[in-house]
Amino acid sequence: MTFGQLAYAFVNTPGIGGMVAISVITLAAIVYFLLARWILKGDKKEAPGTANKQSSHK
Amino acid sequence: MNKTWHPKNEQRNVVLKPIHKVTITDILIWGFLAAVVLAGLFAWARQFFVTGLSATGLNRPVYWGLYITNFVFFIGLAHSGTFISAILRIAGQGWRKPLTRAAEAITLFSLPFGVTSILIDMGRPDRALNIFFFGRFQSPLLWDITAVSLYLFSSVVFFYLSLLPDLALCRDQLTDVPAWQHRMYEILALGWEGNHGQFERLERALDGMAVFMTMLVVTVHTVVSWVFGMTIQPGWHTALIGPFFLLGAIFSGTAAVVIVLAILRKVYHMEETLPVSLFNSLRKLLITFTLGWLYMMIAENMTTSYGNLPDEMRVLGQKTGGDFAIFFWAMWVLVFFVPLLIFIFKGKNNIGWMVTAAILVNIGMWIERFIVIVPTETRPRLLYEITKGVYHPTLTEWVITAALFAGLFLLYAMFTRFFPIIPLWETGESLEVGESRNENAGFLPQQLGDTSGMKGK
Repeated sequence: MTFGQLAYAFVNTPGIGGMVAISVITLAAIVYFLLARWILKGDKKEAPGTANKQSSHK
Repeated sequence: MNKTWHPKNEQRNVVLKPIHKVTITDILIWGFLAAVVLAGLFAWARQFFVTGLSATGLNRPVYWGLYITNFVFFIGLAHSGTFISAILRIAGQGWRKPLTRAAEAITLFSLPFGVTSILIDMGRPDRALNIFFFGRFQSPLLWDITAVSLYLFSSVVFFYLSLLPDLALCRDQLTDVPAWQHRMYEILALGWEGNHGQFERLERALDGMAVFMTMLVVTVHTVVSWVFGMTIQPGWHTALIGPFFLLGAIFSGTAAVVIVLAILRKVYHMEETLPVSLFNSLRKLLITFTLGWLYMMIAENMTTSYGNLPDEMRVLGQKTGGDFAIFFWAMWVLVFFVPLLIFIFKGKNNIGWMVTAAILVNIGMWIERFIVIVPTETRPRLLYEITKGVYHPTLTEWVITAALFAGLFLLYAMFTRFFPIIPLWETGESLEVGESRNENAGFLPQQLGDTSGMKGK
């Protein structure tokens, strides 16, 4: 199968587009979950004395 | 007792005051809006179970009418939040801070109604799933579904993350609210402690997401326009349709922010929190968008008329002197002539005039969506010799349209009664300590050192 045939099959085969859509949303869900967890973790593991710098707080 | 940190904010009491209790007036307004929503639900149920799409004015060759007009309009309205919050954030416009949440809430509540409009238009909403099972990647409809879904999801996350510190504030400060409401804040705050690491990471995450959201906002409305533009129908098949849709979306979205801010300011007595200077800043943006809209309109219609292609001219004729002439010229008056005069000569330091112009812009932009969609279908490229389409929206379509708008207003009004509509942590000046119910939370006040670093950008 040539690259052109592969590309043609990708855009024309029923169902593949739906899989792409679901994959995008699923990936976003994973990234956002990890992002939220990372934010909430904050300073938890740092010693209290190291937490004396202020955020730039835009 | 452990402590949770909250940015100090002189406006805290003003912003939190509406959350303390629901008034009789609120209940009456909510009741009226809910009644309109119920009427819409009844009309839709009748369309779904009894009549099918024959309850609408849709016919051959006019397959898209009010429902798709609503879809494009709601998606456009949703761009307000992303523009104010993400794009102006990247541009470093500090004045946007008090109005970010009010704008983002428009995004959050508009998008579901945009998606709902599509499902209503389908007649058989259950078949929406077919796009996942049988969708081909070459289809602009698939791009649309993907982009809008991702946009809705990302908007919810962006909104929620920026709400976290204020949810914690509600959890810690609002002790006189009903138990269920307090429990809601506890759950939604996700144990936010307000330590500097959390604030720092939140800022970094929001900065990063702002870039992503900006790309999404351009993608979404471009892709929405490509549902039309990728066909070869006259009036739609133009490379300008993407930028034109995008500009119109940001234009109507920003105008909607003016309306919402004015209502919040009046109803919740937020004169100091939402000063007139904010409206003046928005006024400058709106003048720019009005002129941008004029540029797009001239470029689009002059190119069409100079080309003089029969198919294109039939559609243009429908707009300028045919069945839709009244809407076309009303659109010019409502979107351009009157608002521009108001913005330039009356809008400065005058919120009443700004709101008037913003309402006109939004009515005009809804008509513009209608004008883009329907005239083309009444004079399609291939079927013109066989039939000249006509479209008269039915009562069912109007009732459902009213219900969609009522639903948006209802959700927005209820949100402002349960959550701070002004981002207190973003507009705060420094940190102060408050009592926390989280026994594992926080650190001592003296460990924060100099709190002046928390000043806004």
